[in-house]
Amino acid sequence: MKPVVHFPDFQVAPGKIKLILGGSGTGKTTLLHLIGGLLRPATGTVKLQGIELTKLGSADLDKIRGTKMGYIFQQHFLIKSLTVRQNLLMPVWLGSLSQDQGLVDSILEKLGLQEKTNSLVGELSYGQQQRVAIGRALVHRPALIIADEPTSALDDDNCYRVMDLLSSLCKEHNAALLIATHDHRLKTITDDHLML
Amino acid sequence: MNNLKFVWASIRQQRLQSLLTVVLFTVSVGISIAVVSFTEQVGNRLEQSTSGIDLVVGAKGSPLQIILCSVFHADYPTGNIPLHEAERISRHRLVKDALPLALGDAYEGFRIVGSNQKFRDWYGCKVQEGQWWQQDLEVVLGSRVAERTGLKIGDSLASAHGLTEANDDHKDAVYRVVGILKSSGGITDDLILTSVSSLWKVHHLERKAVTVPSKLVPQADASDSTAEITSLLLRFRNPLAALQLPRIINQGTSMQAASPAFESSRLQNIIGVGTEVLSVFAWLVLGLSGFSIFISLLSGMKVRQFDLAVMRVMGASRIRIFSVIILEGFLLALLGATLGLLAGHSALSGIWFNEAISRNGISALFFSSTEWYIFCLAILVGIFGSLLPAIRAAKADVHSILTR
Repeated sequence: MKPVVHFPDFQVAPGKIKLILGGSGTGKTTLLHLIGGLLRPATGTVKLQGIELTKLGSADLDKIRGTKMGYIFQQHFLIKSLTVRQNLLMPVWLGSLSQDQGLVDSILEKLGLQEKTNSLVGELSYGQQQRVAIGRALVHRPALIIADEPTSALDDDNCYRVMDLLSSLCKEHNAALLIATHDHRLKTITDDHLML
Repeated sequence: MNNLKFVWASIRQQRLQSLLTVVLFTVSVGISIAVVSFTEQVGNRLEQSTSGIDLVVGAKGSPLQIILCSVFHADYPTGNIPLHEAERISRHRLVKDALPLALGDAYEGFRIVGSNQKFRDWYGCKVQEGQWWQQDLEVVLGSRVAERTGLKIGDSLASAHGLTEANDDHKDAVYRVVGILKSSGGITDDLILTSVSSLWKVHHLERKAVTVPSKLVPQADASDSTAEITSLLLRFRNPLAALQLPRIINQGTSMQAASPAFESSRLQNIIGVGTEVLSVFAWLVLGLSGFSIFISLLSGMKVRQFDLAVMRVMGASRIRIFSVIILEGFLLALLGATLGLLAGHSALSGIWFNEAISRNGISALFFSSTEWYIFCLAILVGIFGSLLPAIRAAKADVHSILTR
């Protein structure tokens, strides 16, 4: 099979941030989905903490995604029928992990959502929803956080506020942060860029 | 968070669609259960009331009316029969036992039945309070009669003609309550029992002096050609009687023979037409409920495809997605079937409060084993209806959904 798109080799260390920059249609989301195991590469490998994901079966990939990865989407994709707390705890539930109440409370506090824990996410503002999505990506202490266009819809103030929050939380949890974006404002948060 | 909480939240979010599905299940299960319970109770009642009675002899007329009147006590007599003719039949070699009945009066709508002392054994009556009647104008009340009329031992009552609720057509000859029966769940709960001669006395039908007492009504002379009763219940000595006796009675006497077994089955067939139509309707609605779950979940998939895709991204396996959708179908069906069960019995309780139906022993608290089959079938329909949406959700391509 002839490859449709070719990606260069790269790696990201724990607690570090890597920016994948590129315009629309350059394959940023495809690359993230390859890393997350939602797509299989024709050739090449993806390794996470020494585990070669490309060799894993579907069930093992589900498990790795549930325990070692956190996802942040541009449109948040929060579950509208659930409350803030329930959305936050989705990875814990789906990964059958034990809930760290202290961690949950601390994330809620840092995200400024303590007063909203029992609100349905549909009742929140766009910014609040984004913070829930960030919390959801961190609550199960993943090794890798994958963020797809996390700031494209935000103004400068909110863009930097969100990135400060995200990068500080990733550092605090020693999680690698991989951001795919066309938003060149984010170049200021890290020198580690990959242009597609 | 668990699967159940997640599914319940999803059901609540799509409340209108969920409500429609639940209502359809409730209607179909409710109708099915009400029909099944009603039919079974009527069948049991018919069987219980006719057991031990092989043939009923009454005045010429409709055999069904004879059975409705003399066995189910739910219709008027076709007329009277001469006691001496009934006596002759009761002595036939093919007759093992015979029980005379004198009907025609009632108290507050409860029928007064004149018979002899054998009635107690024929119907297995047990006295709860007081004693069995011994003298003329003494009566024993069925349990429901006592409960509804409030009559107690020692009270008096004046009967009325027919089965009306009027009370005092026969004010000059009143009955005295001497006993109250234990509830049997059968027809005797709704009867007022006395001797045949009590009814004759109330109607001022004086008998001539007894020289040879009648076997059926000892207070009358066996040769009294003017004495009449309403009907005669027979037990056969052997199966041959079923072939010969009806013919002998219908052709050789002024009386009419009616078979309780045959007429009950005819009655069940008549009732059966209505219940069958209702059953077909209920099955159609159940099919529609399954289709409704299918449509509801399938259209819900469009709205929730991102939720399910995100769940997959967060580590949910295909089996988990499949089971969550199946659980949703199961819960909707369970809710509908449970409400249907309650609705079916509530409908019966509505009927139950209807005095006439209640007297025929229809109870809202009767649970038929068939009901549990209907309940389980409804849940299976719910699961079956959610199968295709569940398979589609489990097989969905997460990458293409998230890049739309």
